[in-house]
Amino acid sequence: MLDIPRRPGWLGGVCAGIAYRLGIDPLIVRGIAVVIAVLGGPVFLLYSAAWLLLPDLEGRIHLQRLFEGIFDRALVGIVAVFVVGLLPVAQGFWALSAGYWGDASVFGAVQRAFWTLIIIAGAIAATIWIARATQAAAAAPVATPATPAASPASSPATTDDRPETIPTGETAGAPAAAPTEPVAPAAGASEEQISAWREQQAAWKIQFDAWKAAQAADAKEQRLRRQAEARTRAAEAAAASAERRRIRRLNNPRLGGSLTAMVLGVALLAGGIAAVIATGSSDWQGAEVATGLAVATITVGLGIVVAGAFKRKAGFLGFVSVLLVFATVIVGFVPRDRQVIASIDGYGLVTSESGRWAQLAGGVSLSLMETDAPIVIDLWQGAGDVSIDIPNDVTARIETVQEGTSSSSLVFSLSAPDGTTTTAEPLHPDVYRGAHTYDHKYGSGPTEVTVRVWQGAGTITIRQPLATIPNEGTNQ
Amino acid sequence: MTDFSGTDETILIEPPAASVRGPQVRIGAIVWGLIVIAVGAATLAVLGSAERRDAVIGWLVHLTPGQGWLVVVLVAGAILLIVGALAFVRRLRRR
Repeated sequence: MLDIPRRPGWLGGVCAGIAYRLGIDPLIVRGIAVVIAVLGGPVFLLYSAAWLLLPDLEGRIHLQRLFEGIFDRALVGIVAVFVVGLLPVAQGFWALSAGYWGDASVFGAVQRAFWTLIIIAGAIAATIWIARATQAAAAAPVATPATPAASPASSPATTDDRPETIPTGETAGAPAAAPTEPVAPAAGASEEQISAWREQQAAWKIQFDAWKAAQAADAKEQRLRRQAEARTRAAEAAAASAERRRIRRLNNPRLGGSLTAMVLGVALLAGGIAAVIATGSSDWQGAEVATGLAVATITVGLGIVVAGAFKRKAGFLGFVSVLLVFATVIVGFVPRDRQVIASIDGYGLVTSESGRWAQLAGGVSLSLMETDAPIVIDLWQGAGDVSIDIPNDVTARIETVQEGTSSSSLVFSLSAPDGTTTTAEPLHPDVYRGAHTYDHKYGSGPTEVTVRVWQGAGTITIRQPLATIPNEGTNQ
Repeated sequence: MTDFSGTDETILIEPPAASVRGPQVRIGAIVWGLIVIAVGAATLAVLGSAERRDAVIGWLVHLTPGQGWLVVVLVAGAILLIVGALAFVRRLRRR
């Protein structure tokens, strides 16, 4: 259907199959899969589905064989990968740190732990069940159509102790029908009739046992023959596969470990030197890691280009390059001139000193306090909620910039002594260069705290205790 | 002397479909390497100045959903174009 047969690979051969279909190195596909899995993509679930549904090189599909009652040992692996995909840990590293989406509560952690335990218990149960089913399928004798439904324990497996029952060539060739049991005499039958029937019955018993033994011997012989055939086929397939691999190696010579190590060494050196240079330059300061990664990425890219021009396959460099590209882009755009705080909801920020913070997404609760000297608190937030609590005795200047004008709001609210919010009214920021800007001083004394908030999208709430008259102060 | 009779036997069992045509210049790898270089160079260029960094972040923040999908479509188109071109080159070479 998709024309992607699975090939011998690390696990189920799905990545290898895709790579072979696209004509690229399997390590690149594996690298991409690992990166997507780390970022939270459902790679494990898709992998197990592909393993189950895609045919192998001989056109066998595990699901189809399952419907036919054949339990392949690979099913254990498929179920294991599927179950790993259900684990919270496998759903991206965000899940580990509790939260890109802000569920950092103890309750959430307990829920996740329980979920993990349930999944692991289910995994163990499923593995045991499949392993038993596989063993049972392997141990069951090959059934022939004429074999009566006799349990294996009661039927003799060999004819060793019954030389008279050894089947002739004719009986071994075609499965003979079972001898028919003599009909029991009617209720009022005479002694002679009954004894005649007993003799018949005894003769039939001998015949039937001989027939059963012949059937069993026949089945065993067939089983051995099939096993031998399967071994021969497997050996042939392995030999053909080895030959194909040999030719593939001849057509695609590898770069070799020493040259790969050299390219990686040059990349490390170049990246390190670039990072050192960045430290000394005002323009680049703070971006040392990203600069080093970018230079290393460029070096590895050059290595791949040169290897390709010299007809050499650089699989490991390709794998490294996928990781480097993602690392460079991600590290390059993390704010570097400020402290990055966790992407959780309700991050409490209480400080009496100046500082610069950044939060990708979530919620920040900023509580101001009296200070000896004026301070500046600078907060950058990609998206989420920011609340600023201004006590009565603190004079604060609040400057906000909200970039997403359509998806942002700015409100003022009064909080009662018991902590409940009584009123919330929208403030009306100015529009400057396509962004909402707001600059207001709360309180009447000299400014003690200056709060600067830059927000991509979301809500900023300014709270004061109920005793304060709303909006007392002056516009700046 | 090494005895290659075992190897010859395996060839006789199933003649391989592929043939030894010798290594060729790896155009796919070269294109991938160029993409990697471009990503690294672009990141360096953006990191080098505060204005460019702010411009990029501002552009990202001001993307509307429609523009975001437009970017996705453009990237997907570029990937398709490159993959298709590579497949075409491979077909030409096999002739």
